[in-house]
Amino acid sequence: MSSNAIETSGLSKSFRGVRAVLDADMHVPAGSVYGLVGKNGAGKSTLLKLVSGLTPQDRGTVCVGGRQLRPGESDPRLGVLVEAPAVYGRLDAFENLMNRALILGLPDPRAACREVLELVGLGARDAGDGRRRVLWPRGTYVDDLSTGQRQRLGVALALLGDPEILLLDEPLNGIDPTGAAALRDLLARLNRERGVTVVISSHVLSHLERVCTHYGIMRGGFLVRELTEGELADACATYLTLRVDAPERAVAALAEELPGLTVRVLPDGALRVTAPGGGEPDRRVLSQALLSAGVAVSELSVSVPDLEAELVRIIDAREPSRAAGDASAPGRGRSA
Amino acid sequence: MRNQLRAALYLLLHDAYPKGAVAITALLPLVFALTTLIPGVDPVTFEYVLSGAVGAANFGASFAMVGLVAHDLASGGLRAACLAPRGRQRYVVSRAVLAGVVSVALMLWAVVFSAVLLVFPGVYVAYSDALGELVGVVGARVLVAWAYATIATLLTWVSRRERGMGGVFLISLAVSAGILGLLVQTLPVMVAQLFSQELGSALLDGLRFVLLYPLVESFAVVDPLRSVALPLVYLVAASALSCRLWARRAV
Repeated sequence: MSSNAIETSGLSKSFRGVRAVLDADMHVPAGSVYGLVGKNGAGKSTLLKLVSGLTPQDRGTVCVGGRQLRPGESDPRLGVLVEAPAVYGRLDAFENLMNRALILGLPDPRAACREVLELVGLGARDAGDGRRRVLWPRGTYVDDLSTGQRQRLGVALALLGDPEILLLDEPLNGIDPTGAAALRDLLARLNRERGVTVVISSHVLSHLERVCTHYGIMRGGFLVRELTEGELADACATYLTLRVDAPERAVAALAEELPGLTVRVLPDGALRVTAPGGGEPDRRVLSQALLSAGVAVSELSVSVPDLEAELVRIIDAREPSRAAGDASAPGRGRSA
Repeated sequence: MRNQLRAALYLLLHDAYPKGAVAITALLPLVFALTTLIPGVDPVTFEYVLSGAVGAANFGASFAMVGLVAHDLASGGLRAACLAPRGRQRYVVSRAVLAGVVSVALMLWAVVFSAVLLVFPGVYVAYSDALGELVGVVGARVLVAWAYATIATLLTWVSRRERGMGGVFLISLAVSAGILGLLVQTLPVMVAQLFSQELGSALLDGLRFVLLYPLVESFAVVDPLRSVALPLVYLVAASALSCRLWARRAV
């Protein structure tokens, strides 16, 4: 069996001639928290809908836990929240959960509904006087709930039936900071304690960097890159940028004098220098090595990029072509 | 399948439209019975009251189902159904079965409520020896109501639009009152008659044989075989089309 909880190959979908997802090869390791990152319209929701079977693909394959799904087929191991929560507005929260629990054929639907409501912080709470207070009284239509409350209900619906894999599309939208933090903790706990694989899409990167172990970056319908938390951390290593009068001579000198450093010549002729382990290169030693090689340094700056900045840099790179079958499309290659 | 049916029944019990259908089914015979209380108005037969109730139940079945699937469309709630194993097919089949349950329940309600209306002094049983035939009529109407409800459900899905009560009412009326059938019959016959009167007549006879609405023009079972077979053909065809529609549709 594959070690990937989700694996897609060449997954593509277009709507009325506009391609939403192109040749997506997604690899979500079992037990990971996979953050799907991209701007609005990058194809994150469509990709999740294709994986969940809510939208049948035009071509490509989806495997969940090693089993290949037919187009439009869903796997019972998935718990899904894509776009707005799928709820009946004129039923209350508990009734919506009961409907889903009955569809899933859960042995004790009422208990399951109460459990997930508690998990997302909407069940009975201690009122402080020793009594338990139910937060959502029966009879309050879902239509009358706030965006955040509906979103929590959506997460509760996704959690019903103890899914092995959670697909959550922008689950923290509309939730207040306290609630968002609690939900992040819940996802981390489910991942840690129950081994639930979580795929979570968001354009709010700060939501992801605290929980994700893997990242997939979408741009213009392409899954342009997949990388682990470690690889992203490496990409976020502190680096020096130098402007010198003879870049090629400088590269040769540094390679000879300081072989541990990684030196890259940028398109504008500047040098980017990184030290092994992500630490800051020793500026004094570096300057001496260049001076002894007769290279004059006109500018030297230190950059300490954070994870969000690095992700933004990847996302904001040049938009790839959406032409059909574009062999040069970035979705064809990846680093992870 | 059992799970989807249980969930469908749960929705049926909690949705407003089926409750509305129950009220509609009771309303028409109640009006018939109440009018007999007006001085100078003639008494009415139980058969007359029952025919009104059965006709209302026929409409009510479509109204309840169109309302339910309109809520499915509006809420994205059918995603829940599609996420279950073989969810798409089972969702469609569960709605077709539900249409049958609704039709049977409303027809039973129509009969029971009509019987209750016998307490009105102006309502009386005219042909007590023909009650067996009435059972046959009601049974045949159950099949027609089921077929109509399934067709109305399919039309709602095809339209893909979220509908309010007005839209639900119009679709239900167009299908269950035979307006759609009449249109399907009239338009080709009119075109055919431009070429030949005989062709038009032949086409009219043919269409009246295959369309559902002529079956419910009178409160009697004229052709027992056709009364059973024709609704079943429509039922199976509408269900098959619905399955095909949902097989590859994004939700």
